Amino acid sequence: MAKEPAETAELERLRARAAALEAQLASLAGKNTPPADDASAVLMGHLDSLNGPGMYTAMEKRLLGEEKGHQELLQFFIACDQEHEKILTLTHDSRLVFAMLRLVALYPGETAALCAYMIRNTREQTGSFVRREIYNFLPVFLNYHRGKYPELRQLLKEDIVFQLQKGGDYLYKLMLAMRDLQFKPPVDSMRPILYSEEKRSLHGAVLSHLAGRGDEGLQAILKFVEEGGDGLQQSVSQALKHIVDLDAAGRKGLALRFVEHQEPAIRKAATFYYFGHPREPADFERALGYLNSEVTVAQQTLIIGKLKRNSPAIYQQLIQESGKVRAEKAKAILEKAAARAKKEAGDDG
Amino acid sequence: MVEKPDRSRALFSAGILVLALVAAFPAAPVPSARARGDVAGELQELKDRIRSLEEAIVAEQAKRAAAVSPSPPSAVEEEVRESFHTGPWAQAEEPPGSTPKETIDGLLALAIKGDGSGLVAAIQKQLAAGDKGHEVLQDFLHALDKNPSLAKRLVGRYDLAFALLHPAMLQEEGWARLAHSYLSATRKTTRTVLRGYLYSFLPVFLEFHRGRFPDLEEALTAEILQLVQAGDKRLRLLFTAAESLGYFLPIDLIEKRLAQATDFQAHSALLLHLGARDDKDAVRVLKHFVSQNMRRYGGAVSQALVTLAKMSAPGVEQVFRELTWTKDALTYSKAIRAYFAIPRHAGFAPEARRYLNSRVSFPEKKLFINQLRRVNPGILDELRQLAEQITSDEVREFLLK
Repeated sequence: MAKEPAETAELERLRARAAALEAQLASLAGKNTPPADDASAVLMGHLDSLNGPGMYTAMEKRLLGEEKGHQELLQFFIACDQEHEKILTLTHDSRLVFAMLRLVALYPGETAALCAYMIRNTREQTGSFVRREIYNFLPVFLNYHRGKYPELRQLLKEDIVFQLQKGGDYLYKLMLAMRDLQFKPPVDSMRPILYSEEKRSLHGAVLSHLAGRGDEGLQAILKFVEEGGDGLQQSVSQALKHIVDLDAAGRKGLALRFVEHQEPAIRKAATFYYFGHPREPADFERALGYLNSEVTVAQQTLIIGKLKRNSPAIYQQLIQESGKVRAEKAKAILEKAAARAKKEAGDDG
Repeated sequence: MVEKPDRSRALFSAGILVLALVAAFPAAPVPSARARGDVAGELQELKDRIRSLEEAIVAEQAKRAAAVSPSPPSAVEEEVRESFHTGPWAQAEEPPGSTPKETIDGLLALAIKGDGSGLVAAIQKQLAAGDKGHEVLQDFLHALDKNPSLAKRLVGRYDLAFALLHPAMLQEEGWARLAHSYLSATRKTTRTVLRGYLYSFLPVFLEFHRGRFPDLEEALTAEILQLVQAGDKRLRLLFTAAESLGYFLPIDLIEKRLAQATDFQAHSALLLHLGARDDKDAVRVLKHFVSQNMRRYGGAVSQALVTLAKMSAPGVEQVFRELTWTKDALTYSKAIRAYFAIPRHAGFAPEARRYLNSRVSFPEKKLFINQLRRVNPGILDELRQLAEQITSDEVREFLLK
C-alpha cells in the first residue's frame, strides 16, 4: 500500500532521530569512563553535588600544583562558563563559595599566582564570566593584603588598560576595579570605546570618568565633541553637558566656545545645558535665540522650566517680552505665566 | 465535568517496562513492521525505539557522572580533625563587660574607619590571647550590637566582609568558640544585627566542618527549634540554617505552623522546608494543606503542588493520581500545571493531551501550553505530531503556533 506523504515524512523524521540517538549512545558507550584524576570531571562532580569540602580538597590540590594545577582550574572555570548555570552555581552557592574563600584565606600566595595565570590566559576572552569574577575579586583581595603582591597589582592594571583598548567588556566592573585600585589608566586607552558607535551604551560611563580626570580628561572630551560625527551625536551631547558642568564648576570660558559653535547641533545642545546653571540677564538674547531656533516643543518647555528655576531675571524678561518669542508653545507658556503673575499682582493690590 | 484520566499511560510510566524489553531485545527474530510494510506499526516501533534509546542514554550519562562524582558531602576530606567542644565557654547569658573602654573604642575605631585588615589583625590577636582575648571580643560584639548601623556596615561592605571572613577561616576553633559564646550571651535578645548575619554564615561554616563543632551544632539546632516553637516569623532564615545542618524540625510543629500561617512568606518558607524534607510525612502534610486551602490560599496551594511534584518521596504519585481524578476543574488544573512544572519525558504526552481535551477553560490551556514550551518542549513536540487528536480547534491552533 502506498504511504501518505505526511506519513513518509514522519517516518523519515523518526528514523533520523533514532539513528542520531543510536550514534549518541554508541559514542557514550565507546568512551572509557574518565579516569579519577580527570580534573575537570572531578571538579564538576563536586560542583554538581554542591560538595563544599570535596570542592575544597580538589581545588586545593590544583592550587598548590603550580602551573599544571592552575591550568586545570582555569579549564574547569572555562567549562563552567560555557554552561552558564554552572558558573552561576560556582560563584553563588554558599557551600562552594565558602570552600573557595577558605582556600583564598589559607593560601593567599598561591591564590595570587593563580589569578596572575588566569589574567594572562584569558586576555582575549574579554566577555567571559571568568574575567568578570577576576575583576570582582582581585581588587578586594589586593587591598586586603596591602601591597603584598605588587607584581599582580601591576598585571591587573596593565590588563585593565588592555581590556579598555579591546572595547571594555564588563566596563562597570573595570571601573570598580579602577576605583578600588585607585588606578587611572591613560586617557587614550578610553578612545576605542568612546569612538565606537557600537559601544554607545558605554559612552556615558566613559565620559563621566574623563570628566573626573582633570585637564587630561577634559582635553579628551573637547576633542571628542569636535571629532564625533553624526553617529555619535547623542554621546557628543552628553560630553557637552560635562563641559558645561565643568565650566560652571570653575573652568570659566569652556562653555561659551560651544554655545557659539558654528555647528548648530553642538550649539543647541550646549545652550540647552548652559541654561541648566544660573545665568546673568546679559544672556537673555541667547535664551530667546534658543527658543526661536528649531528645537522641539519638549526642549522649549524644559528650557523655560530651567530658566524659571536658575535664572529668574531672564525668565521675567521673557515673560515681559513674550511677543519676541516665535515658537507657539513657548509663547503660550510665557503668556500664561504673565497672566498668572498679573492676576497675583492684582490680588495682592 | 473533567474527563476521567487514563492513568495507565501517564503517571505510572508503566510503558517503561515495555521499553526496557524493546531495548533488551532489539534484534528479536520477529519480522519488523517495516519489513511487513505496516506504516502505523513502524511508526510505533520507531517511537518505542526512540524512547528506549533516550532512557539508555540518560542511564549511561548517569553511570558516567557517578563514576566521577565524589561521595556525598561530609567533613573536610583532607584531614580528619577531632571534635572541638565549644560548650564550656558558652554558659554566660550576658557579655563579660570587663574590657576597658579604650580597648573597645580602639576596635570600634577600626570598624568606623573601614580598616578591614587592621580590624582582622586586632581580632586575630585577641583570639590568640585565650580567655582574656575572648572576653574583649565578646564585649566588642556587644558594643557593635549597641550600634546596629555600624554592625550592618561591617558586614554589608564587601571589602570589610571579605576581611572579616579571615578569622573564621584561619582560626576556626577560636572563631567557633567566639560564635558559641556570643549566641549564649545574647540568647535573651535574639534579634541583634550580628545574630542575623551569624544565622546566615554559621550554618555554612558548620556544614563545611560537619561534626567538628558538635556543641555549636547542637546549640544552634536547639535554638532554631525553640524559636520556631515560640512563633518566630523568620522562618526562611531558620529553616535554611536548619537544612544546612541536616536538621528537620518535628513534623507536628511544621504542621501546626502551616495551619497558623496566613501570609505568603510564611507559607512559602514552610512549603520549601517540607520540600527539602521530602519524606512521607511531608507528603501527608502537603496533601492536607492542598485539600484544605484550594480556594483560600490559591498561590500557596500552587506552590505546595509544585513542591510535591519535585519530591521523590513515596506517595507523591498517589497524591497526583487522586488530584487528577477529581471532577473539580480548579483542582485538576492546578495539579496538572504543577505536575508539568518540572521536566517529564515524552511518555507523559497522553496526560498532557487529556488536559488539553478536558473542559478546563481555553485561557488555562494556553498557559499550560506556554508552560510546556518552557519546561517540556519534548512533550509539546509529541502533542504537535498528533495534533489531530486535540478536539478543540482553538486549542489545536494555539498548540501549533
